[in-house]
Amino acid sequence: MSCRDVVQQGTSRCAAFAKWEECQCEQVQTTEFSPGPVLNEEILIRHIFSPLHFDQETRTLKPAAFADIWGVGFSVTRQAHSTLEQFKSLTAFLLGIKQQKNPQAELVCLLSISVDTMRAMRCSSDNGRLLCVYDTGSKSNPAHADLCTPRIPPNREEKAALRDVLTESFAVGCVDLNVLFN
Amino acid sequence: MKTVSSTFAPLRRLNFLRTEAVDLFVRQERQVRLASLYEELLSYKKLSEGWDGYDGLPPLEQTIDDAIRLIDHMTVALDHASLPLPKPSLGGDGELVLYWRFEKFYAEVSLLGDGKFFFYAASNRVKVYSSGEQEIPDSTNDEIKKIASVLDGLVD
Repeated sequence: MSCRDVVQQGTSRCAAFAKWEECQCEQVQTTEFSPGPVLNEEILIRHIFSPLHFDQETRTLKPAAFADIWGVGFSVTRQAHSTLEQFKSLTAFLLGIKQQKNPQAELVCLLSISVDTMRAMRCSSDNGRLLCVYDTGSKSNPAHADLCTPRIPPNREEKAALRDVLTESFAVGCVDLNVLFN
Repeated sequence: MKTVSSTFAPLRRLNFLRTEAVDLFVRQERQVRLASLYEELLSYKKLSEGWDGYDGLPPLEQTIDDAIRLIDHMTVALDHASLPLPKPSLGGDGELVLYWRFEKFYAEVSLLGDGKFFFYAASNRVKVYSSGEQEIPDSTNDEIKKIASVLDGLVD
């Protein structure tokens, strides 16, 4: 199996990527639709569609919102490969899909984070990588990428440590779309 | 026996009344927060697949019941140490996390609906304590007191 086969496999994407050590699939283009591997200097944007994932008091993402990093992959959009107009139509498209599943779904917040920061995250016990960033562009959204932990399956302590690091790293507040794309 | 001077007596009486009033206010606010926490947890029972706008699984009913049972026992210990109640967070995999964030300090209890919980606390991303998997107790046992003590240390 190659890194390219992983995306076509579907649901347990992070587990499949974790078969390669040290996030090796970051180095190659994993889908034919992707514009190429994700570079360290890129900025990633995450849509938050559920109010339950968002702490209104602190305006930050709640810790359990990161469960996809050991499952289907934590979906993000690569800003460098999207324009403001493309991003707006992607948001409307995604929101439509989300509302079909849950009529209460709404765009609660947009979070942005640098790839550098994601890739610099290390486990305090063994200094190994905590997160990998893969280019997983699709035909309808070539700018799609996934965050996955290579520590699969994580034990309960590792999950807690990941939630701690991720909530703190993502605690940068919601971003304004126009500012982000200016 | 010590006596209270005539000028000081009304003040003490006032302070006493004030303390009672503050105590009552704190207790009432605590009750409101606790009721709100339970209400939010119980609302999770109504979620269906895809609740998070992705492919999120709803929690098991037992996960919610375990959380409420655990909070019941924790509240006594948290109250004793004047610690805040945790905030709830639900994962798309059905795992429930009750968490505290005090700037660089983080602590959580995670529940999977198997009658057990797992507590973890860290300071500056370095583990301070983890409980290992524990059965949900029937009372405020030593492990719960230990957790309250760890949280108390983080807040200080």
